[in-house]
Parts: sequence; structure tokens; C-alpha cells
Amino acid sequence: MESRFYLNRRRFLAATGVIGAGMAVLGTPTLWAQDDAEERRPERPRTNIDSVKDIPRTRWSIPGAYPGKVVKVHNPKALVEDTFNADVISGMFTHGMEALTGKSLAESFELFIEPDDIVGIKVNPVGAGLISTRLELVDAVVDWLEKGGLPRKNIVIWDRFNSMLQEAGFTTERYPGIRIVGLQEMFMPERGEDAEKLFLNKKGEHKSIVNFNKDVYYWADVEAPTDAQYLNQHVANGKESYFGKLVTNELTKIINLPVFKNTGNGISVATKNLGYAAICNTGRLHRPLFFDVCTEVVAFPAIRDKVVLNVTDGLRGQYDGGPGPNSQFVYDYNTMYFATDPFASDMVCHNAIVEKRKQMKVDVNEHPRFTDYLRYGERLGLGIADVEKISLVEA
Amino acid sequence: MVKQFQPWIRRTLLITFLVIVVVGAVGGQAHFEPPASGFVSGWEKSEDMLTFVGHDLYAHINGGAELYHEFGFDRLFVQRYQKAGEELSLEVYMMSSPRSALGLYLMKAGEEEPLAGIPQRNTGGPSQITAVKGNAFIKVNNFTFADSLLPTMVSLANAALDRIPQEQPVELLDRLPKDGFQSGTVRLIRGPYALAPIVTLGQGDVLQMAGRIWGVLGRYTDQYDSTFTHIEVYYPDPERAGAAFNHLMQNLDEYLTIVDKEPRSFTYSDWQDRFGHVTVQDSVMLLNVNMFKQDSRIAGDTEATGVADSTESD
Repeated sequence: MESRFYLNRRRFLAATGVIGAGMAVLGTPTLWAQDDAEERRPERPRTNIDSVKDIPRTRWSIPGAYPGKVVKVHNPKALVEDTFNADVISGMFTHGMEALTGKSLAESFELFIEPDDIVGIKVNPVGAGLISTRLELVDAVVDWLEKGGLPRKNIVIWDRFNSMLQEAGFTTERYPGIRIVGLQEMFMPERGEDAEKLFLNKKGEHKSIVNFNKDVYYWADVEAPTDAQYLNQHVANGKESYFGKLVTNELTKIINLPVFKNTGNGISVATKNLGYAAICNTGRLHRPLFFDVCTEVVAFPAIRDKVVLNVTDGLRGQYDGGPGPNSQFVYDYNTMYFATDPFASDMVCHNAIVEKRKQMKVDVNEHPRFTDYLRYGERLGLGIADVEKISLVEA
Repeated sequence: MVKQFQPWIRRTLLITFLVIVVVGAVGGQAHFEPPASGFVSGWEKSEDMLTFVGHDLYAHINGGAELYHEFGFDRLFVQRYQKAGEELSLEVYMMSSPRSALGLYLMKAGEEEPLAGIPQRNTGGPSQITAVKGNAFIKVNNFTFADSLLPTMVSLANAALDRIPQEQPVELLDRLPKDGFQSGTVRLIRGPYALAPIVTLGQGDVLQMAGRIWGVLGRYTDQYDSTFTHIEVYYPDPERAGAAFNHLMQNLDEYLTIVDKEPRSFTYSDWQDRFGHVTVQDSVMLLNVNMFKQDSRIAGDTEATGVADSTESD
């Protein structure tokens, strides 16, 4: 059965008479294999992607002003003997932005930001201090925004978990005047304490549910566990994964600062930093829809029309054992990737991590399923995933 | 630098649910007494030991607990130590059997670099030590990269390992053919999560291992001097091996195409024009995957012993 979510190239060509005319696009063996695979792909759970994918786009929608363009900036002085050099990192940010836009850093501001914008800087605080988004990079972004004229009160540093933000150093003390927002809390009972009493409100809902917009949700035909532990961690346990109100109601622009790390045979970088952070109730989605979530959640206008810039923090990288922190596989990479197109950026980062894994003699499975979600994003018009069409600029 | 990590160490452990459930021991070791304060002068326990039982592990390892459960995870004990602002953490994963512990260790160790001074099988460096003994897989974590703590980490690892009973050696590793085997590549598997880093043969538990059937794999050099992976899965009887073989053939991954088929074997090609060959012999399924040539093989024929693994699970 053909999944409605996947364009079948062979049938499309047949319908247009191209194959019949003997002018089939021959493509490459990999492309033909993907066509065959799509015909044989098992049915996956239904989602509500169809309800949003045709919503008209805006001038700010991804893939943005530079579809398929990824700028790589490397400076071995950024991280030396476990010490991060803020000036070097700031310089890398400047260099990357100039290479991406062809304009000076100051001139680039108006390409992305408008005077009244509320800008959310999406960091990754997991593995605080080891593999989390570096504060020095966030500092460089904040400095750019301020010098462009954006007041600090219009800047929000955000993630899904408030406590993780605090642990990673994203505090109001460190960033006075800037809001630090986690969409949810996860409550920790002391020995013998009843966890439900900590996280449930009088209605029997998670206390953090007030931070989520019940009118905007990613629906998937996947049941969620009903136990207290799951609810505490995921806020809701129905078939709806609600978007955070911060994302739907407050932010007008998002600057995405993911980190450079693997998750199994795939990666947890730009699209995952958005897809799994903007919504609650994600645990149920891992097994049946893992990477597709990274694409479909990003397709919602609350994300699609606001993510204007992706800067991947590869000052340190983690090539195995991810997505959680695993110091054994962390290394100094001293690299950042810049893109308006998160799908192109992720394809570049995926290939870079695979090469690192091979270099380190880690088992590598390059099955297409670990990048199918990126090609899916291209089919939805969200970005470029075809490596033949990606322009990687080493600046 | 250390202070920067202290909040993470503390909160990473505290952010999870603390569920201390004392249950009857099922496999595994129900209780573990961590090394006492002073295992090295000046090092003290910084708080009570945390225990994660069964599915509570998801709170500690959100993105990766499935592998541990597939291998037979029972419970995790986590103890932190500190001295003069520095911190180490000890994680002791009690598994259902020595085979389970070794299987997990081999998945996590990567290319082993054993540390002198630890008699048990181990690998590590200044940031982390992993080791295995009996039913236990242990980690000693240092969240800085400071070399100076390595001797203390070794002492902590040894102090923990001394508290774990020694068990019989795991024999499953010896079943692989010797000729052409690439040293250091052996892995144990018990389901799709352990197999995932090697090859994707289909959706879910396509080999029907159910977290109970054991297999072993390793990389080999073929007659063309190329590398492929050889896998042996040991079913309890020929009927289940045959059923798994049929299930695999009928549910083969969408990116694999059967190019040759016999009653008890088939060959497939993949999206990169590499090949795989699957055969069932008595109660054993033999697979050669990621082959560059269709006729890649180990030097000499591989003959399954036909001896089923006497226990499906541990």
C-alpha cells in the first residue's frame, strides 16, 4: 500500500507519460532503490501532517534565503586544552554569517530580524558543559542581535526542560534582561515522596500543561504510556503532542543552535533540536516515528515560518553514544555550520559524523532510513537534502 | 571547569525519577554496596546512592535504554564521590547474566584500550572507564578531561569490581570461525537494537530474537581482501530457526532485494549494490552482510555446529 506521505517517483513519472515516452529519469541506483523502497515501505502511524503541509508559506519560511547552502567554519583555536576562547568563537560566528550572507555581520541582521521581533534562541542543554550548546556561541548571537537594535527583553533563550537550561548555565544571572524559558518542569520526588503530588494540578493534569497550546498539536496515532513516570516527563499522554505556547504565541523568529552529535546511526542536530523540543508527549513517538517527527513537527508553521537561522555548535562533537552525553566519544571539533536550511545542514552534519565514526572504527550502518526524514523534508519543500544540490562552503 | 560540570552531575542524576524499589532479585543482584568513602584518601560519597530498576532506566538514559533492556537489564546503581570540588560518578549496571553484561560492554566499549591496573576486561581514559565482571557492566565517569583523576578512577573501578562476584567465562564468543576474523570486532546480539549498528534487515525484531535468542557476530576479511560481517544466531531448535528464516525473507527491509533464492538460503542486494547471504542450518541462522561481492565468504566453509544455545534467555 502506498503511503500517502511519500511521493512515488516512478508512479509520478508514469502518470506524466515520461516513462511511457522512454524518457525516464534514470537517476542513480540509489534513487531507484529508494523508489522501490517506498513501494514496499510498511505502513506507518497516521499523523496530522496533511493538515499543515499546504498552509501558505511566508517570506521567512524555511529553507530561507539560502536553500541548500551550508557554511562550515573551522578554527583550531576555539577550543584548546579544554578551554573555550570566546573571542575566537565570536570571530567564527562573524565569519560564518558573512560567508552565508555575503554581507557584513551588521548588514546581515536585517536579512533575518525585524525591529519588533521576539527572537527565541533554541539551545540544546543536554549534557551540560560537556556537549551542550556553548554559552560563548549564545553570547555571540545575543551580541549580534543587540547591535542590530533588538532589545534584550525581546530575546528568549529556550528549550523544553527548564531545569536543563539552568544546569547548562542559561540563567538570568548569566543573561540579565533576557528571558530563560523552559516549556516544562520535570519534578523530582525525594525518597518516599509521592511524585504525583508534585507534578499534578487539581485537575489531575501536569502542572506544566498551562505552558502548552492545546489548539496547536502534532497528532499521531500512537498510544502513550499512562504511568505517572511518563506523564511527569512528558506532560501529556494522549495522541496529541502540544506545541509550547512560547513557540505558537510569543516567538516571531527562532535561531536554532543545536549541537553536533549522533543518535544511534543518525544524528541529533538541527531538525531534532526543534522537532523534539517544541512539543510535549514525545516519548511515545520514538519507536514508530523517530526521525519523521524531526520533519513533520518542523513543517508546522509555528516552526517552519520562524526558524530563520541554524548555527550548529560543533566546537565539541560526539560521534557515538548519543544523544545523551558520553564523554568517551566526545572530541574537539572546533567547527560550526551555518545555514538557513536545517535539512541541508543536517545532511552535511550527518555525513560528517558518519565519516568520524568510520575514522574511529565505530560500527556504522548507513541505511537510508537514517536520512529518509531529510529527503522527506525536501519533498515537503522544507529544505534541500540531495547532496548533489547542497552547496557546502568551507569558509 | 569542574564547577561547570558539578551542576550537571548533580542534576542529571536528580532530574530523573528516584524510584527505589526493593524487589526480589530476578537474575541480577538486588543490592550493591558501593565503595565506601575513603576508597582513595579524601574522596567521599557526595550523596545517597541512586537505584533504577527495570523501566526506570528510561529516566536515566532517555535516548538509549532500549539496548540495555534488550540485553537483560535488571537494575542500575549510581554513586557519586567528591573531593575538593572534583567529582566522579560510578554506575553499576546489573544485568541478568554474564553474557548480558559482556554483550552490553562490547556494544559500549568501542575499540578497546585497556587500562593497566584493572584486571578485569576494561577500556577507558581520563573521561570514562568501562569494565565488565560477572553480571555487571560498570562505568566510572569523570566529567572533565583532566588526566590527573585517572589513577583515582582506576581505584574506584577496582573497588567496585571487587564487590562483584566472578562468574564463568562467556563461551559464546568462541563459536565464530577463526580464519579471516578481524580482532576486536566481536559483538553479541539479542535483538534489533544490538543489530542496528551493523545492518538493517527489516522492521523491528525481524530475526525474531525476542530479547532471548543469542547471536554473535564479527567482521571478516573475504577472499577479495574486503570486509564483511558474519552473524550467527542460535535458535533453540530447527523449527524456530526455520520460522525466523521465513519471517525474515517475507519481511525483508524495503531497501534489500532478493537476487537469488534456495529453499533454505537467499541472497539479497542492497541500495549500495552490496550483498547479503542468509542460510539456515539446523537451528542456526548464518548471515554474511555488507559484502562487496556476491560470493564473498570466509576462507573455508563455515559449518554451524548445529548445537542450539541451551538456554533461550538468562
